[in-house]
Amino acid sequence: MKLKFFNLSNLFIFITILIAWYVTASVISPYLHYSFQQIGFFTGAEFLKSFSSYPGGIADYLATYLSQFFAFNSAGSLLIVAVASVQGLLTLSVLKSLAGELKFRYTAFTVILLFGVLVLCDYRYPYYASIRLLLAYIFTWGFYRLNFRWPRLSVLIWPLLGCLLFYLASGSALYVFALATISIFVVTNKERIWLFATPLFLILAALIPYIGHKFIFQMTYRNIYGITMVRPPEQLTYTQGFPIYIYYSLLPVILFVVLIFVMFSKPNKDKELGSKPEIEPNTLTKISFFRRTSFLVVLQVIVFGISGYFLFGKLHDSFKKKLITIEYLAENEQWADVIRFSESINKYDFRVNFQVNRAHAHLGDLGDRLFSYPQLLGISGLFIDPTNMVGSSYLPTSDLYFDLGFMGESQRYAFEAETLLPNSPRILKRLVMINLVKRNYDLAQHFLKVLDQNMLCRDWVSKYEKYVSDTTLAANDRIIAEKRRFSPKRELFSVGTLQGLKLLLETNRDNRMAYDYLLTFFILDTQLPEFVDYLRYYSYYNLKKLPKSWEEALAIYVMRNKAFPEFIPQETVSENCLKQITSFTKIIKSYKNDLSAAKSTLLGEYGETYWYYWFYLSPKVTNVLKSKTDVR
Amino acid sequence: MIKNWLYIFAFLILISLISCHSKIESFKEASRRPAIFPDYTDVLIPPNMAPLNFIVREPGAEYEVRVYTDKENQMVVRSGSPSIQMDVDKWHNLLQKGMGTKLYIDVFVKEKDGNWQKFQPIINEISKESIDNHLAYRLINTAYGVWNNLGIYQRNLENFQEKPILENKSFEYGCLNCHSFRQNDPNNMMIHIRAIHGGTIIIQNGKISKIDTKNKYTLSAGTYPCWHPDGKHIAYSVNKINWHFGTGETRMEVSDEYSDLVVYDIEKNTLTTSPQVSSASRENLPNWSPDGKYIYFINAPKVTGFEDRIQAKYDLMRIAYDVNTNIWGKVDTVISSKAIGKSISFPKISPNGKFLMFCTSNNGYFTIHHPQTDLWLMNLQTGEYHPMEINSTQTDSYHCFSNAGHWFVFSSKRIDGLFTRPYFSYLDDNGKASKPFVLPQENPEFYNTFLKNYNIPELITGEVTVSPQAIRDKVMENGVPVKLDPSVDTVYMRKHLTIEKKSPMPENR
Repeated sequence: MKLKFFNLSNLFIFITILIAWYVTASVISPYLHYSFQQIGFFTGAEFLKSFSSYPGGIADYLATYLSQFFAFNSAGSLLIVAVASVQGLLTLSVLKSLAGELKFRYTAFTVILLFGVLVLCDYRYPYYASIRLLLAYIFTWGFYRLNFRWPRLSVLIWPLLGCLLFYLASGSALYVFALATISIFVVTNKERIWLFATPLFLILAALIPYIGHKFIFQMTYRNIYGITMVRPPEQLTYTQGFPIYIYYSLLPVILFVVLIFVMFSKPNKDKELGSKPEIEPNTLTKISFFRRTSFLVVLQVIVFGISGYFLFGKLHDSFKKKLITIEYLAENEQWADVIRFSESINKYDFRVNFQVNRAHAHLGDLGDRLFSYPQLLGISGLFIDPTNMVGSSYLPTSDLYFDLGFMGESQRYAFEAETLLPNSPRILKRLVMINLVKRNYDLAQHFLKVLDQNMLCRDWVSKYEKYVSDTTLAANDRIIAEKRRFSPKRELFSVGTLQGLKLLLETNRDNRMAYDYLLTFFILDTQLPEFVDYLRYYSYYNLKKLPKSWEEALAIYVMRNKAFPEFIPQETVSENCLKQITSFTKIIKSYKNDLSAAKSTLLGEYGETYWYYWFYLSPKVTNVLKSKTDVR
Repeated sequence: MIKNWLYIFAFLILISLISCHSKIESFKEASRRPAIFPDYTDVLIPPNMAPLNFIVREPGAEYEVRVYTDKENQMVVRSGSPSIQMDVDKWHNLLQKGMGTKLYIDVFVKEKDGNWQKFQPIINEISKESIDNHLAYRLINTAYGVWNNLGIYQRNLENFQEKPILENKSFEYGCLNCHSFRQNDPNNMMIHIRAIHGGTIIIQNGKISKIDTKNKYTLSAGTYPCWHPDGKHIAYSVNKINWHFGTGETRMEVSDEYSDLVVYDIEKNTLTTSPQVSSASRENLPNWSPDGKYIYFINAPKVTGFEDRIQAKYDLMRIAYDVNTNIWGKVDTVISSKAIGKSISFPKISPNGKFLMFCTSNNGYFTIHHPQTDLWLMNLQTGEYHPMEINSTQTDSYHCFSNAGHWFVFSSKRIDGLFTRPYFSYLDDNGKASKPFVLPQENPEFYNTFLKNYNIPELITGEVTVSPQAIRDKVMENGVPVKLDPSVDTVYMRKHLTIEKKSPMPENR
C-alpha cells in the first residue's frame, strides 16, 4: 500500500513523540528536576499574588503548576513532550495556511520538539522558559487567525496582544511574537501595509518592556528583556547556552524561511506554466525518486535521529545527573542505594562524600567503611564546610543535624534553605518534623497548613495533622521520640561542629550516630589524643571489635606510644591490623621514607586505610581546602 | 433557548437572594463567647481601621455575624464558611457613626442539625482617635545568613491595600535594611541598602538622594537610624555586628563588638560625632526626643570576652545635642540595667513627650530573637517605669508611636512564637495600654499560612508617593560619600578606632 505523504509524515511525527517521551523519561528523568529544583505549587491566593506582580509571572505560575508533576517521571516526561509538541503543531498549523503542505513539515515539527526537550538536559533549566515560549506560539497562532480574517484590524490589535503577552510571558516571548508575526504579516497582506506594520511591531516589541520597566514593574532590564531571570538562589542560576537560544529562535526562523520560500516560489511557478521540462526523461525519473515524499520524510527522520543522538550526547551531563540522583536517594533515605550509586561515580565530589558518610552512618558501618570513599576534604566531607556553604548545602546540612538529633541546628539550616527555596515541600516537611520534635505544635500546624495547599502533600499532611491534634501520637512516633531524647537542652551560642557533637553526647550517650560522627571527626582531623579520649566509651555501645578505621587510628596511636591505652584490651585491635601497619611502615622505609616514591606501591593495598589517608589524602597534607570548592 | 436560560438564571439569583436574607427565627443561646481568630475581643479599635475580619473557630454549616453599635447602626455578614469578611465601606460607616461607643459582635453558628446557636456577644470599643493611616514594614523570611525576595511595603490601614515602597528584585536582589521616617512623615524617609548597590537612600519631599555613610573616621556605615524632628539631621549608630546561633530558645543572638553614635547633616552632607558617644563602650540605637534637644540611646560596657559580649546588659542614656550649634552636652543615665535587672533597647518617646517606651530582654539589644523580650513604659514626668500590661509570653518588641501620640504599633510573636506580626494598642494619658490586636487582613486565615515576618513596623500619616521605580533608579547609582564635619576631633577618632577598639573577639568557642 502506498502511503500518502501526509499520513507518512504524521506517522513519523507520532513515533517521534513516543521516542521523545521515552528519552525524556529515561535520560532526563524529570523527577530529578523536581527534586533538584524543589518545585512546589500552592493553591492559596498569596502564592498567585507573588507571581502576578511581574511580567512573565503568570507563565511562571503555570509552569510551576505543570512542573510539580515532574515528581512523577512518566507524567512529567509526557508533559514536557506535550508542551513542545503543542508548539510544533501550532507551527505546522500556521505553515499549512501560509504555504500549503510542506515536504519538510516533519523537520519543522521535530526541530521544535527536539530543542523543547534538549533544554531540560540542564537540571537548572527553569521550566517557565518553555511555558513563556508556548504562550508566544499561542499568541502567534491567534494573531495569524485574526490576521487571516481581518488583516487591517490585526494591526490595531497587535499592540494589545503585545502588551498582554509581555505581562503574561515577559520580553523574550514578545520578541518571538513580534518576529514571527512580521513574517506572517508580510506573507498574508497583499497591500503595502506591512511596510508600515513591520517597523511598528519591532519598535513596540522594544518599547513595551522599556515602559514596563520604567513605570510599572520593579524589575531589572536584564530580567525584563532576558529569556530567563537572574535571581536567587545561586544554586539554581541557569546559564543560557545555545540550546535555549535556538529554541527561542525556531519559530521566527521557520516563518522567515517560509516567507522567503513563498516570495521566491511564486514567480518560478509562473515561469514553469506552459513550458516544457528541460531535463531528459531518464534524469527526471532519478530526480523524482529523490523528490518522492517518502524518501524525503525518511531522510528527515534519519537526520534527526542522528543529530538528536549527538546533541543529547553533547548536552546531557550524566555526572550532574548522578550527583542529583545521590541527593534524591539520600532525601528518600535509600542509604544502600546511595552507596551503590556512589560507586558508579568515578570523579570525587564533596556532596557525594557527604552523603556517602551519612549513608554509612545510617547503615551502621561508618567506622568500617569510612575510607571506601576517598575523604579528600577531611572533616569538610563529614559536615559541609561553612566557607563552601551555598544554598544547595543548606538542606542536606539540616537533614544531617536532624539525623543527629540537633534540632536547633537543623532548624537554622532549614530556615536558610526555606528562604532560598520558599516553596519547597521538602523543606516545609523538615520544618514540620523539627517543630513536632520541639513540641512547638502551633508552628508545626502553621507549616502543615502551608503544605496542605500543595496537592502532592495532602496525604503527608493528614498523617501529621493528627500528631498536632493528638500529641500522644507524636510522642509514640519512633523518630520523633528518639530526636526528643537526643536534642540538646542547654543554651549555648556559636557552638562549632565539634562542640555540637560533644554536646549531643553530653545530652544523651545513646546517640550512637553522634558518637560515630565524633570519633570520625577526630580521625579525619587527625586528632589522635582526643580520639582516644572518647574511644574509652566504646564499650557502652557493646562493641566487641573496633570498626576498621578506629582500629587503624588506634594502631597509629599504639605505634607512637608503644602501648595500648589502659582502658582498651589488647585483643580489641586485630593481629591482622597490627601486621598490616607494620608492613605499611616497612614499605615506606624501603623507599627510604620517601613518601612520594612509596605512594603508588601503597595505593594498591592500603588505599582504603586510615594510614594512607594520614600520609596522602588528609587536607592537612594536600592543602586542598585552601581553594574553594565550586558546588555547581 | 437563550430566553429559557435567562429565566433559569434569574430564578437562581432570586433563590439565592431569598436564602441570603432568610432571618434566623430561633436559636439557642450559648453561655460563652465564640472562639475566633485572630483575637479581636475586648479591643479598642481606631475609627479608621480596616475591618477586623476573623475566623469563627466553632464547627458549623453556616455562620452569621451581626456587628452593631445600636439598633440603627449595624451590619450583617452571612457566610457558608467560618471565614468572616466584612465590607470595607459598611464597616467604616459603622465605625464612624459609633465613635466612642461599644462595638458588639454577635456570632450565630448553624449546627449540623439545622439549628442556630448564638454565642455571647464579643464587645469591643471604638476609639475617637484615628491611627496614622499607613504602616510601613519590611517583609523578610526567617533566615539568618541569606536573603531572597525582600521588600519594604506600605499597607493602607483603612483597607487591605498593600503597595511596595521598594523591592530588591528591582536592583539585582541586594539587601534592604532599616527604613526610617521623620516623625511619621511619608515624605521624609530613609532606607539602607547593603551588599549589591549598597548605600543609604534619603527621600525628602520627592527629592531622592543616595549617600555612602562610611567614613574612615567611623566604625562602619550608618546602621540604626533616627531622624531629627527638623528633618535635616539623622542620628545613626555605627556598629561592628556579628551573629551567633544558639542551641536554646534564643535561636540567634546579634551582638556588637563595638559601636558608636554619629549625626548626619543632610544639607551639608557631613557626619559628626563626639568622644562622649564614640567611647570605648558600646553606644547604640539613638532616638531623638520630640523637641530634638536630646538623643536617647543605649550603652553597654566595652567587650572584654565572648561571654560579656553576649551577656552584657545595656543601660538607657541620653545626651544633649544642639543641631544648630553642633554642641554636645554630657551623657546622663536615664535607667540603669542594674536597676531593673534587664537589658534595655529601642527607647522611643511618645510625640507628646509624656512617655518613653522601650524593650527589655535578659541580655543584648537585638530583642526580636529573645522570647522573653517585653515592652516597658517610663513616665517622663514622674520618672516611674514598669512592664506594660500588653506583653505576652513570646517576643514583644520593636514599637512606633502614631503621630498623635496615643496609638502605637509593636512587633509580637505571640501567635506562634516564630513569626513577627504587627499589633496595635492605644496608650491613654495615664499610661494604660489597651489590649493589642493584630493588623487585620482581608483573608483572616492569612497569618496561618504566611511565612514572612513583618520587620520594623513604622506608622506613617499617609502614603509614600515616590514611586518604587524612581527609588530603584537612584539605588542603581553610586552613593555620594559623606564628609566628616571639621569640628570632629580626628586625632581622637583615629586613636579610638585603632587602639581602643582593636580587640578582635573570638566568634566561636
